[in-house]
Amino acid sequence: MPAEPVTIAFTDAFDAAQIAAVCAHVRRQRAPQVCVDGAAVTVWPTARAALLAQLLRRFERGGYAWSVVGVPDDVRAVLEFFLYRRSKKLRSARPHEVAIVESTLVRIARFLNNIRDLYLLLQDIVYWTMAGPFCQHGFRLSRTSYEITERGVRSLPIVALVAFIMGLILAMQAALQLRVYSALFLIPRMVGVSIVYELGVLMTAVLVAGRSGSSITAELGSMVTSEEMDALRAMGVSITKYIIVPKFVALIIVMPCLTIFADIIGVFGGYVISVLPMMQIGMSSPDYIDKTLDAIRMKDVLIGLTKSVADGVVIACIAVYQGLTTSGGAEGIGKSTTRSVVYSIIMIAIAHLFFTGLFYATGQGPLLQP
Amino acid sequence: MTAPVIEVKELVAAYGEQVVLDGISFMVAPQQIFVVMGGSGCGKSTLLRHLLGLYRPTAGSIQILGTDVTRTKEEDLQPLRARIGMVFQGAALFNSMTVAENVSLPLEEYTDYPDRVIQDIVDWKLHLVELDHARDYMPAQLSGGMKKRAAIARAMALDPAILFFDEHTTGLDPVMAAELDRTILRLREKLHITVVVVTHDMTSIRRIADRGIMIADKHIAAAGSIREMEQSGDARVVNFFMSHEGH
Repeated sequence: MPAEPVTIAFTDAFDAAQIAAVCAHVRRQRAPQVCVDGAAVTVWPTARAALLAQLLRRFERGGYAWSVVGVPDDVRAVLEFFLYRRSKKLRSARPHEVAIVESTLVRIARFLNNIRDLYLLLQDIVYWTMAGPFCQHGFRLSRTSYEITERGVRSLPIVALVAFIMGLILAMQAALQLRVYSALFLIPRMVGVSIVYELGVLMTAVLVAGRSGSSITAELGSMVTSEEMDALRAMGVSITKYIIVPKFVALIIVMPCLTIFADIIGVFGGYVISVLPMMQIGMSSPDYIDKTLDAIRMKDVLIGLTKSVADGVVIACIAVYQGLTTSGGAEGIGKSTTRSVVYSIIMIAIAHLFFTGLFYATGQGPLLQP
Repeated sequence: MTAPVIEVKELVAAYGEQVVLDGISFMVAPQQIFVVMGGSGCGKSTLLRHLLGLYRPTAGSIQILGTDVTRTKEEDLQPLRARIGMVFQGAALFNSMTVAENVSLPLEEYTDYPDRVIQDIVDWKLHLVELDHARDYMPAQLSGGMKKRAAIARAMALDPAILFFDEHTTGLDPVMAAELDRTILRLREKLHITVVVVTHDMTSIRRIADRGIMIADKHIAAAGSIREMEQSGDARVVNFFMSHEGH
């Protein structure tokens, strides 16, 4: 004889904590069918219907046939929504492995798409930078000079401060090591070559990425979200020509200028440490200057400046690209700005590694012989 | 007679010396769509903030669902606020959260339901405002009307007894505004809630209002059903109806 169905009285007092106990009770009864009676419930907030749905799903997973009685029609409709929609979702769910492969492929496709977009953007920028001056209204000189002031002149204080501190640190670190070998006379050479060849450029690039790259991304991102970009497109104005080229040209101009400035200030930091009597290095002012000028070759300066121009291109492209692909309002602007700085710093490091490797392989690296 | 869900008696509201509302009294019956109307700067939004207990009045009393919000401490108002939903003029969705996260926020704050139950409730509320497809969208990806509907879903998360709307049709085109009004009517019918709407949009008022008041010069210039108010001899009311028609 088949077992009688178990009847569960679903009341106002029922809460999530009781679901497990009810399921255990049904298991103990060994009945294949469960009937939930909701007649005793006085009010049916959505949460109560959701709890009942949760209970019914547990019965279903346990292999029990269930039925519900004493429930108003509108609550039954809510229950059907919960149960039907979930089952529909389960039916449409794909196997986990397929989903992983699919999402990996999507990511790869998105990455390749980004590379292609970045390439097209760079192509457009280069075109308008070269062709702009020959077209009517093609090159915005006043906007470019404004950008040079914003990105370059206003960066001078922070670049000076950080470069000076870096010069101080480098000279002190060098003194600590070289004192052991009685080679303190090498300090100007070490400080000069390190700063001019690598550190001055790298530090300037990181500072510009953090200060100007982020501000370019935020500015463009906010223009995108407020539909200003769409308005420009609708007016038939080239965004690249009108908005991007002035920023791009400004960064390419200011990067070498800021780098030379950082080099001079950094070397001056080393000078301050070396000639200060309290540091007990015992170097005279003319001696330090002579040794620095001896150590730094014009070729090293040019290599540093080449890197700085490359850094300018990297920062401008990434900042502009991140700005133009912003979506999602204030939150999106924040994310794009963060990505702009992070990607710029990573790409700058990779570019410097590439240049250093290239010059090392071709024997063009800095000399450190006394 | 059923007890009113909102009862305002002789309310006086002022910012410092400047009196904004003076001697406002009205009642809202259960499951009614009640409209507070009036021109810009007449004190509609001030009245709404007093109803929500955000401002304390200079004089008078406000009973909401049996609680006098003018004499209840801020911390003791929390249980009442869980029974009230508010849809702000600009939707006020949290931009850093998805639509579903916005709707689940009050549930996570006020209840200790399991996550699955919360997700069920969120899906149901989004279904009621016809935003099933937008649960994982960010607010920035929504149109103006969708934002308002998401805000309604959030306001309804805790099954409120009263839903307040502040200028719900502002910024929407006529089609979206009509759609939103239909949503309000549908919700009242399905969920049996009381709705209080602050607006100056006459087209919307005609579509949804059961009763209402019109505020002018700090006082109630007209009260009753829209038809009753239209027949008012008060020149301010006549002017308002004529100048805001079609807005």
